[in-house]
Amino acid sequence: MTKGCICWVVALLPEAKPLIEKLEMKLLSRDTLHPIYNNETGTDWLVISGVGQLNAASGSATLYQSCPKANTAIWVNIGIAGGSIAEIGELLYINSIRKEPKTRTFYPFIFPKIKIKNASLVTYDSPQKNYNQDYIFDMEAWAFYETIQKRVNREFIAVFKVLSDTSEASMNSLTKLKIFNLINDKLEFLESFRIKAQTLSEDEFRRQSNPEIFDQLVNKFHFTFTQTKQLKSLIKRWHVLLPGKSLNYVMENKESAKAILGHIKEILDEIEIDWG
Amino acid sequence: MINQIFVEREIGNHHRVKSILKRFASRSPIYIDNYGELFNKKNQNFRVQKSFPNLILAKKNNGHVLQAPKTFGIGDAYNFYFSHMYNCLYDCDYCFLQGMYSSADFVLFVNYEEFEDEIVEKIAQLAGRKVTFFSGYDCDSLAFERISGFVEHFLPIFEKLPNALLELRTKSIQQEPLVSKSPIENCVIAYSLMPSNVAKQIDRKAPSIEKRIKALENLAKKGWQIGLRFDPLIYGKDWKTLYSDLFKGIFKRVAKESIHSVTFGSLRFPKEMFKNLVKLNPESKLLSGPLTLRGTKMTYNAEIELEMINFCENLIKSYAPEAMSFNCRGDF
Repeated sequence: MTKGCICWVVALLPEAKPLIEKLEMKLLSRDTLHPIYNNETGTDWLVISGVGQLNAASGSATLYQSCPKANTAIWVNIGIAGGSIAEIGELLYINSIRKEPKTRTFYPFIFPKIKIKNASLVTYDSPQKNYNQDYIFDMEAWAFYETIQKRVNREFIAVFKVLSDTSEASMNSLTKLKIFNLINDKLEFLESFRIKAQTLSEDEFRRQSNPEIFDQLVNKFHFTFTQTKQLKSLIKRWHVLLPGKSLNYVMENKESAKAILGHIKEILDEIEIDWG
Repeated sequence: MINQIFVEREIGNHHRVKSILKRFASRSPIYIDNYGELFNKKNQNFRVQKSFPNLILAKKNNGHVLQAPKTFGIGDAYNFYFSHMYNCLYDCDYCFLQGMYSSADFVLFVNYEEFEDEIVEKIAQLAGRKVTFFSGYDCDSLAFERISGFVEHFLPIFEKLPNALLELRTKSIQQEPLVSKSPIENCVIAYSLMPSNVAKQIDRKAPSIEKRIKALENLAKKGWQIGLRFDPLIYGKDWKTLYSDLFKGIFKRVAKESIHSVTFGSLRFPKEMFKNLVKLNPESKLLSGPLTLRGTKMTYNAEIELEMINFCENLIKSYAPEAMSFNCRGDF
């Protein structure tokens, strides 16, 4: 069965490492602009983008080009963020993202029944020290979202942040190990989210994919662009109206794409739907 | 049912917003500048949103009351429609809303008073002529009542406007506030109906036909005028028997005097909208059926369409000869 896919976009190696280890991902190639990892089954892909908005946009785009299921994958940006609205180490599910100076605001889709605190996020170009705000802040999420939402439905994009620094504990005290632990402590939650996300991605992949017989037919006969679209639509109708009935026999004694299309259409148009 | 709640900043203090938010006390609303920021975005997945819709509380700034298509009406020469809400709780295969909006989120416009002003203004412009106002084309008029209080608000308004007729189109079995109020003469509760077996498969999340008939029976007994809306008529095996049984079932329980009007409409989609619908529901039997492009519409062939409308019209006449019957070809 085809599995769903998750694309993780992470700024720093210490943030990515817990995921790489947990999901048994390996470096795909050293030849890409940003390091890309994936696991053997192709269900999880990860890019380490580097810090800042330019890197986040470029890293996201690089992963989009590399992952074969990028357009049906669930895209997740996870990393650390500063702020005072929660305790250090708390994982927050981002429900609005804007950037400073103010531009458009994005409102990521919130998966239902995920019981963690939601928060607003502001992405800045430089580290912030004013923690006295009702939102949290980072340096990547807006650019990640802005890049990916051009290609992927907003229901397939999520942003999670772990609070790493507050007015009491500044970011200067963060070490690689501390960052690793902040994400590592959230793996259990991320795994449960991942299972839900996989299902959603899998459904979308199935919805967008072509039936097997489609490839057989287009390889055997010459279909024009319009005929290819007609074929796709007729095969889908066939599976709905005649579930379980093979389409192979419509190819018998047919010598052209036109003849096949005509024959399938003729059969389908004869069917009176039984509403049972 | 509701995933997240968004509120336009401008109406954050509106009394209707406050009262709606009270019902969802455990949710923190997200404040936005304009509902279009969310609702009109291109890259949205209607199917996912349909399962987990957000509620957006907004203010409608213009076009509160719009002219209905010329071929649409239930007797009056002047017909308008108004939509206090976009999108619907139900998930019907033929619903044009899924082809029209990129989002399945519910947008509830809370500034009812401005709709009201425009309704009064239209009536004044038409100086004494009869005019019908349709509600329930971009949403179901009753299904969201517990949250919206829409009917509760508008019934007393129309009660004072004798030249106006209000049609509330619904599939809901929500009876309040109708059963608690005395019926008003210029309001029709119009139920969308189709054979029960068909509805089971294509009116997802909507109350069963049996429940809808029970609801309309109850309202008829209370004295409300009922509209029967067979739009769209659905073709398939044994359709004549299915529709005959449906009509028989209705008229066995509802006195013909309670029927204000009956309308029929064939299944029809603008071509581009149909493409969207198929993309969203590739597994729909209805959309995979024998539909053909006639002019700019995807519909049944003319022979089927005519036969269905004639058959149903004649049958209805045998039950309720006096009921006003209309064939709707218009699209909202």
